[in-house]
Amino acid sequence: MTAKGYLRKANPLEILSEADVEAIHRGALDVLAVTGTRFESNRALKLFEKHGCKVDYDLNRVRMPSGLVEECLRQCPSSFLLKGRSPKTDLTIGGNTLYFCPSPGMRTIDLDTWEQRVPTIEENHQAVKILDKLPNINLAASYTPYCELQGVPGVMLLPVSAWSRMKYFSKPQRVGSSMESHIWEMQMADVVGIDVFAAMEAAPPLTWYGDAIDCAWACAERGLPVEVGCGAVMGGTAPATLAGALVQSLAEMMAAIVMVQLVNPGTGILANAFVFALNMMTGSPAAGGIEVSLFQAAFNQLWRGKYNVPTMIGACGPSSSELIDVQLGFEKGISASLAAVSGASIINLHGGIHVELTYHPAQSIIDDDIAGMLGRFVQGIEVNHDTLALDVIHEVGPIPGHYLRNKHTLTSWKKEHFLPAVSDRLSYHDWIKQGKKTILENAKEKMETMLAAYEADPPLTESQNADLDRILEEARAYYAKKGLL
Amino acid sequence: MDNYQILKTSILEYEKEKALQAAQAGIAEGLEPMNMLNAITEALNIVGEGFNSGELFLPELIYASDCAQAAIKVLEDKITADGKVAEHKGIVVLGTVKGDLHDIGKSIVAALLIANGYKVVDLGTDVPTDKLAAGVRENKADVLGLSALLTTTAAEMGNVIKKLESEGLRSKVKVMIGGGATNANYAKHIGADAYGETAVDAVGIVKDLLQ
Repeated sequence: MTAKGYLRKANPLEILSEADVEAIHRGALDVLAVTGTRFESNRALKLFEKHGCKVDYDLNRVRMPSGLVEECLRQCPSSFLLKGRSPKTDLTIGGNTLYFCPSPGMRTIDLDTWEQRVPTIEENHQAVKILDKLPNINLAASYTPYCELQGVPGVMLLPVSAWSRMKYFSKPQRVGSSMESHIWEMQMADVVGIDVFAAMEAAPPLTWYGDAIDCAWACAERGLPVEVGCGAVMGGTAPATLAGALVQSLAEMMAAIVMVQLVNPGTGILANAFVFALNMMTGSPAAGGIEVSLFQAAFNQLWRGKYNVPTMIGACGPSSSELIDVQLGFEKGISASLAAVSGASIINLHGGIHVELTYHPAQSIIDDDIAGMLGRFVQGIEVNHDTLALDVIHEVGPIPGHYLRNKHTLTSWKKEHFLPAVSDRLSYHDWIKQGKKTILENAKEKMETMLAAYEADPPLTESQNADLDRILEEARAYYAKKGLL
Repeated sequence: MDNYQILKTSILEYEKEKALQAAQAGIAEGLEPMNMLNAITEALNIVGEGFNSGELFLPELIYASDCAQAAIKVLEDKITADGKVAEHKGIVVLGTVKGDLHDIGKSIVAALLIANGYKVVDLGTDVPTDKLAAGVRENKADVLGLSALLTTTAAEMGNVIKKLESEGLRSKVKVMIGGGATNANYAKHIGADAYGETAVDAVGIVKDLLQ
């Protein structure tokens, strides 16, 4: 048994022509062979050289033959398994299944003043507990949900974040790729018995730093999947044109895939899109823009359609809005919808508010309604004898006949209609009577109820808890010895 | 499981035939029909609470009340045959007025009232004035609930009240109205006793009217 996710029934939306796909693919191969990519890792450069790449050790530059790139792309499996703490949280990533993942933020946000604030460790635990119990959350990224914590020095943020999730989140997770954090995170995952996967995220343009390389290498050696991500900003660290940004992102990711497949052929790859446009007013990423959705739809088509590699669509979670408002809702809703219909395997959606700077668990509860709606949409329309309902239509007939009293309605409506958890569905009359509550107030109430009812499933044993604490202390000692604390 | 329990469970599982059979089997084996009615009340209380708390929805509420109605009829026939009178919180006759075919809102009101322990006689839709008055008389109704969704048919409600007056029934029955074409002012205008904006309001209104 695995977590159900949503099985996509309809063909995914394709926005590129066959010729477009081919031109972008060949463009990426051209970049890899001619200009090449920069790898800040001597062992990676040696590995590339051994397999026929041209390596310039002075510039840390590798130029790859197209044949090798295409061969390594073919080695990527079309799906892979990730084990959670119990069979109901196991995942099969890829194919036509849609899963959801939270979208992290550095800090929390005050729901009255909308000002940012560094959360406490306890608030991190609470936000993780909410994610653990949301029905549409299937896995987590690293540094989730917060990336800054009160009283925690920078180098310890990823290990503490992972420690919090290992204690209160029962589903598969990604490890962080900064300052060797993956070492501790992989040990913690072994303690609680879940699968983790690597984060190997490019430093665009066309560069791979040692931390990302080391994290991917360590996971690939152990047979764990690697999420290979592009994170350019169009007009800043990638061409402003969508086609150009796709070419560069593909080139970056293909170079990483070559490395991973050379380390361990057949390693599972998750292609992650985290590309924004540059906000030409401020110089920061313009989250929530429609060009992000164009990039993501083409990205899905290329990776799913051409390379048969599962995709993680990362830029649906954050918006440019500073607060939980209409702009946040439509930016998240539009980008997540387009990612879902264009064939994403995973959408990072829950909880993110302003770019990657803010997160709130109440928003993650609201986003679970969006995820449920999209999940229902991709499942499509079931057409069979029972759903065609001819017998029922004949039985009910014209007015005054109606279907509310019919057993067919009783037995079918919950399968066919999506029921939101916190979206307002009251009549005007009841809405007034119940205090004119907004969706945010509903979500805040639900958050309180969920926290009060939280029970780990399955619970950690005392020795598992003690081992997690011990590993965290070992990480602290390791960084202290290095003079980083 | 005895027939009392089967009756209760079959309503909670929306099994109409099973509820009916359990009521018949209970009578056949000599169970007290008045007592069997309690099984129905217990089941409907659970359904009503589920609906109020948002765990159950209209299809469940309406179908459970339909299951209950089928069994109630069998049990009440037996009670009458035994020369006794079934106890209710009150008797409510419902109907959508002449010319109007809208059934859903009234059906929800009926289901909610049944779930709250009232005896409901639903005369259906497009019910002529004479038939509504006869329904009140024959069932000794405590409350008459009239529904109309169309502005053109709402006027019919005033005619029903006049008919009750001319037949000397008006003092014996409270009249409540509801539906898209009606409002509190209109209720006052035609001399009705109460107006309900939503189906859920009907339960509180009936309770108040019968105090």
